[in-house]
Amino acid sequence: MVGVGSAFEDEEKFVVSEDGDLVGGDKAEKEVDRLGASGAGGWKVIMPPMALFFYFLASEKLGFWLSAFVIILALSQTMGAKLRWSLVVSFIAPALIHLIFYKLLRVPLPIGLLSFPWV
Amino acid sequence: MFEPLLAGLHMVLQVDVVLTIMLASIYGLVVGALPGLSATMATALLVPVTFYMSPIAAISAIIAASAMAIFSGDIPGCLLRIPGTPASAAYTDEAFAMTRKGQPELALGICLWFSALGGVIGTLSLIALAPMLAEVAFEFSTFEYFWLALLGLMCSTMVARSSPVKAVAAMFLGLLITCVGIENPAGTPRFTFGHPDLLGGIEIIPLLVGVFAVSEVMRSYTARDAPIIPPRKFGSILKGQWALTKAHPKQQLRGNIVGIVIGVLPGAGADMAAWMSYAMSKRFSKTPEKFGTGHPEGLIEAGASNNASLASGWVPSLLFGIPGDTITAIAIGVLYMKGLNPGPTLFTEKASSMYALYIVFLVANIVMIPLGIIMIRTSRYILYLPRSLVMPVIVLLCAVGSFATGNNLALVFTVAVFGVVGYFMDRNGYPVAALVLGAVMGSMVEQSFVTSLIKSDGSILPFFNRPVASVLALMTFAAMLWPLGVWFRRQIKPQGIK
Repeated sequence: MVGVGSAFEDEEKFVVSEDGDLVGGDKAEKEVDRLGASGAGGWKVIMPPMALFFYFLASEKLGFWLSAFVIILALSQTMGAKLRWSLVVSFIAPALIHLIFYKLLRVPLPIGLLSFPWV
Repeated sequence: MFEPLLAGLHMVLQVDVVLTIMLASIYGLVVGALPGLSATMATALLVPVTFYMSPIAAISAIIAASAMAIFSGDIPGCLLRIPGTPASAAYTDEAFAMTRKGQPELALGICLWFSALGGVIGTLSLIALAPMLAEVAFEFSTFEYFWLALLGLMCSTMVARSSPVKAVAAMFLGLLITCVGIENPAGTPRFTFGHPDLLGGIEIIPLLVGVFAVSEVMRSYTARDAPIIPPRKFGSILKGQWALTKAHPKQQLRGNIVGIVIGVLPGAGADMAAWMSYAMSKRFSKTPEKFGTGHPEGLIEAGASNNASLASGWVPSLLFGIPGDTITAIAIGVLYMKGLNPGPTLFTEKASSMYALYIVFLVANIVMIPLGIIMIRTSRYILYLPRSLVMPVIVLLCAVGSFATGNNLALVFTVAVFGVVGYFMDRNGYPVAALVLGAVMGSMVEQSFVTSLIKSDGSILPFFNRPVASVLALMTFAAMLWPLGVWFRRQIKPQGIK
């Protein structure tokens, strides 16, 4: 009989090792440990909630455009994006999201210091 | 019968609904295919957008996006050995083995074809089961609802893929969260710490966005980008699928049935269905040694299973407001918001809306085939969207979306807090689904318990001497004692077979 819950499966772990190979089984677990120990991620993990906290504190004063710009730039930089690309996204994505939410869905968004032309 | 059916069809054939289905499908396909973004997360991020839609369009968006995301999670699993959603994890190795054998189009074709078939059959089960159960549910009073809610909570801990103790702990945390605020039968402020923002309780949608979306973004900091595979040209995707359907009817049927059963069980969804079906397929196969080497059997069964579970998960959600999986846990909130309060009366008073819902399910699973083929062919471009650019946008959407649900910045703070909670729970093996179920159903347990006690003048006897209630009570206690029984059996047989 097939069991219920954690009893019926053996989950095989696999990760991508540093040289780009896929490894499975015990080696994978060591790889996970090693990546964990070397701090892949590390303190940066706290960035997404910090970004939301920043939005909570600052968006009323700074407005949507500026706070969204800061959030995307900070997050993409800590995730290791190329500066050029993260600048492009931090300009375009807030504008798109603002357009969709503000214009199409009529969600009120903080105006603050800088506003979009369609506000 | 025909009148509500026609009315339902009319509801679906509105411009806004059709447009919503198409857009939500594309959204689901893209999010599902991106490793690290699950179908539940896709649904959670969709909720704030559905606020501003008509009821049928809102539900259609959720149905279409979740069905597509569960399928498209198979694509990176097949091509890169990285499951796009947890529901694909069970058979990722198998699918990748087929790709290595030079049959990626066959593997992807199986995933697509049997996902669509599974979805259609799951929908048929929903159409057949729900009205039948609605008849029974009309007899239910608060006593039965209390046991049903409790049974749902117990099931969620029983089927969690972690230790039962941790699952129960997670569920209790969820129940504790629903205690916060003034919205309890006595109207007493609880756990508000004198803070006015906590008087209204903790909103469920920011909680869901936090534990499902923010925590996944946090996890992505520790994951690596997908390895680059050489571009390849796919042959015909659907070629040979009909032959496979005829060759493996038993596997497909078994997958569908397991998926439907798991879907109906509260708290267990597509990922559980896929693991279970894959394990079952291997156990009952005539050639179990071929599993893991790129053998279609397990792929067919698990693929048929996870999409079937998606539709049947709506059965308890629509009838009792008890979520069948994490996706419907989110959908229930939307149902309430749109005035389609779950309950057996939905099937009589809002019959046309129910027909509309069935039609959307069928349409979504049918358009999955052409859209899925397009997605597979363009997957090369979508899979390599750099995570470092996608994830920050997701965080911004979490902020804007949760704000939209209540025009209150404190909600954004809630999202951040539950992102951290979800991240640490997941890291330490506490199932987030159990927390969510506790949080969604806590008030139902309390309300039905208190109302029942008021009705019976404080006597607990009617909880046990009403016929249906007594059966449900027995089932609840059985579910409660199940992990103990399993533990006890293991103590007796230390070398027991898994």
